[in-house]
Amino acid sequence: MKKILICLLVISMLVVSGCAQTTAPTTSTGTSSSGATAAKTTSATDAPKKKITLTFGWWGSILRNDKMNAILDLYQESNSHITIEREFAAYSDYLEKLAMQMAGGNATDIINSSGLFASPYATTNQIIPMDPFVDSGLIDLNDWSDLAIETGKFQDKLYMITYGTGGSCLSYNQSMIERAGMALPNIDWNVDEFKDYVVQLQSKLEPGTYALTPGLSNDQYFYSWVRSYGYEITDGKKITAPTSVIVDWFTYWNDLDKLGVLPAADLWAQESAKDWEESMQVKNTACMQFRPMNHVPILQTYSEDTFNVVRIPKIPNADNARNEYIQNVGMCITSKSKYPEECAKLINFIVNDQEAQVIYNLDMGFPGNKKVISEWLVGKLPAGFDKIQNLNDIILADKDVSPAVFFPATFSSFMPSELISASDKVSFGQLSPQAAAEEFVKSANALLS
Amino acid sequence: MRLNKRKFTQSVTLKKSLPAYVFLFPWIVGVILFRSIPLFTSLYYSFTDFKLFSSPSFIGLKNYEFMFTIDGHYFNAIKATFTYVFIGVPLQLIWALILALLLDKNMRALPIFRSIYYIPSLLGSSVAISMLWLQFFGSKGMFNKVLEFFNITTFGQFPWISNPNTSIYTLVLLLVWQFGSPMLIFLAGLKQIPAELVEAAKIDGAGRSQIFRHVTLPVLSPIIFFNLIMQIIHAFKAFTPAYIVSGGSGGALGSVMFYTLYIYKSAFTDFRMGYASALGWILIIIIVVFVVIIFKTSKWVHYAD
Repeated sequence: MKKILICLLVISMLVVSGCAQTTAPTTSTGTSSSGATAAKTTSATDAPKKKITLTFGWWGSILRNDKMNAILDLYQESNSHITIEREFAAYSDYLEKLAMQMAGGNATDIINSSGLFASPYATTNQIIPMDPFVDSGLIDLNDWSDLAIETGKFQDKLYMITYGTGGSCLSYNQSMIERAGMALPNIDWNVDEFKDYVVQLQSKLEPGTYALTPGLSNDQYFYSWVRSYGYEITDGKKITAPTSVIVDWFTYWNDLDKLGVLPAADLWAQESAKDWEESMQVKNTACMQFRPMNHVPILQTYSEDTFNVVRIPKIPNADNARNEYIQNVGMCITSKSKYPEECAKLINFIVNDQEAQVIYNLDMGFPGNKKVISEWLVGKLPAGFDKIQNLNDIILADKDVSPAVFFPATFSSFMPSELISASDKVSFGQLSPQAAAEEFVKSANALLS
Repeated sequence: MRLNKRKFTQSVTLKKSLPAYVFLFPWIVGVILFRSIPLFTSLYYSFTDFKLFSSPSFIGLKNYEFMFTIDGHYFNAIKATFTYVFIGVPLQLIWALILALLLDKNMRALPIFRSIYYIPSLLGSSVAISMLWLQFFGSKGMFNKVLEFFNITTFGQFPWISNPNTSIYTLVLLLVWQFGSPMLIFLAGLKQIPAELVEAAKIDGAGRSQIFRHVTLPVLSPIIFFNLIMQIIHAFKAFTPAYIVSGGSGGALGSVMFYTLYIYKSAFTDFRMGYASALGWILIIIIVVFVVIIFKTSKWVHYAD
């Protein structure tokens, strides 16, 4: 009797301790399966199709989450055999989670990615090329711009279908400048003229308000700077930009800091991490900030002031060139997905369906499909978009501007933090621009090797 | 006959112990699967260039070489962590002891005070409290408002939490705030001090400070020793406060880049799993070294026997 009791107890312990069921993955902000009101059952007239569950992950704000959920609900309405389980998180949370999911082989079928960090997944076959889906017509790129298609390519294969592109620019609070009685920024300015302008602007602003936010560690503007000199920052094995170019970068920002147009480094360290609605530009404590273009309509939604954009200043030391880094963010299909063709169809729907694009409303910048702006969103463009559209046309017409690339796998994971580290030392006066540039190159080369 | 008797004894002993081993079995399996295997796997990875998405290949001591000769961030992490541990822990224990001494009275409300003072230890390492700290010590946070209330305007709207000179000390303060757990242990220790020792000291004319120095502290020394070891180990493992207040970046100039945060960053942001494994093993060695030092210098600990 005693032995039977012991055995029963042991078995119950094993069951309790060892057999917890895994639950569906959850995110830092939330997970939802389909919220669609559309029935999951098939209609009487359709032949029953195999029920499929796709998983889809993205990063973004609440506004973007609402848009994506609405688009996916729309897709499910016309594809009732498909259920889309969604995972979304803030940008940095998403990236960390994505890395772990990829390593664990349980990433979503469709992921969000960017040329800044997609190459490790491509080189290790964690994401699949989508060329076969384009060739078969599942993904229709006939109405797409070449630039948008190119931004999704790595080693001549199409790994990513972009939501939208947009170059680095200088965003500014037009209303604040007008209140200060200044002329608006000049699109043809160079960095010296820019410095004069911000000094003048700063003199007309109230105490505690700054003409410009620091951008030493703004990686996309940094890439734009390096590209303006005619170099890529790395070939994957070492830093290929001359140290002098990087010295110029740190010197440029050091000069701006000495001119008193930037907030103190410790204040910016606190402010830079805040969300959109708490940002210095929205709170009117800073006028200008270097940003990707697609940020400006988002800023506009949080502010009653009018925001506008202008090109990054020309660089006299680089023969007055400027080569804006064109941001590329899009969707990739993971290699572990059981339904790659269904994923391709869903991606095609998101980027090529009129209703879906009206909902998405240019959230990530300029879509690949030219019809979106020229036909579908006529009269419905988000506030502020006309300004970035004008600037985008100007930038793309500039022969010096080259498409975005996928950064080499070994570089993209740690480069931003190395730039931040060197930038902090300049901002806090620990290192001169020369010393910071040398340290950055040495450290990055050590990591690349 | 003797051999048969020994075998019989062993058989009886085994039969008596068998249920114990059977009940221990799940725990043993857990330790092997979830502790031992990952531990020794990470030791192997520390000698490889494992980058999360590629197979590890052996590189010998290169990770350790990089750590000690090239990686400036590593020494930054050491500095931040050592500051946190070796300033925070003593302050925390001193404060815990002071409060335990104050509460070591037969007061009615003692359980209530004990519970209230223990709450920070429960919540202190949480994300919510770290976010609260971020707000409290920000440029427009409550701390500056409190200073303003007391007419201390020297600092204005100083960003305590993001300034590289002060950010680490805001986290030291957070550690000190979590004094509840060592306080309870001190309180239990104080209750164990034999009353006759204190009475004898009083009879000999000892004052309160003399009683504290010559009776309380020596009798309490094993408890102090225990708390010191446990809090040092706990402080070396701190991660959440540094992660939340710096957004995972380690703060301006890496001022709050705790060692554990640097391991996390190397592994999950930079994808350098091999290097992160090496960092982890060095942390183990550091903690062991300090614990051994404390043990070897523990002549100040007086045991009753």
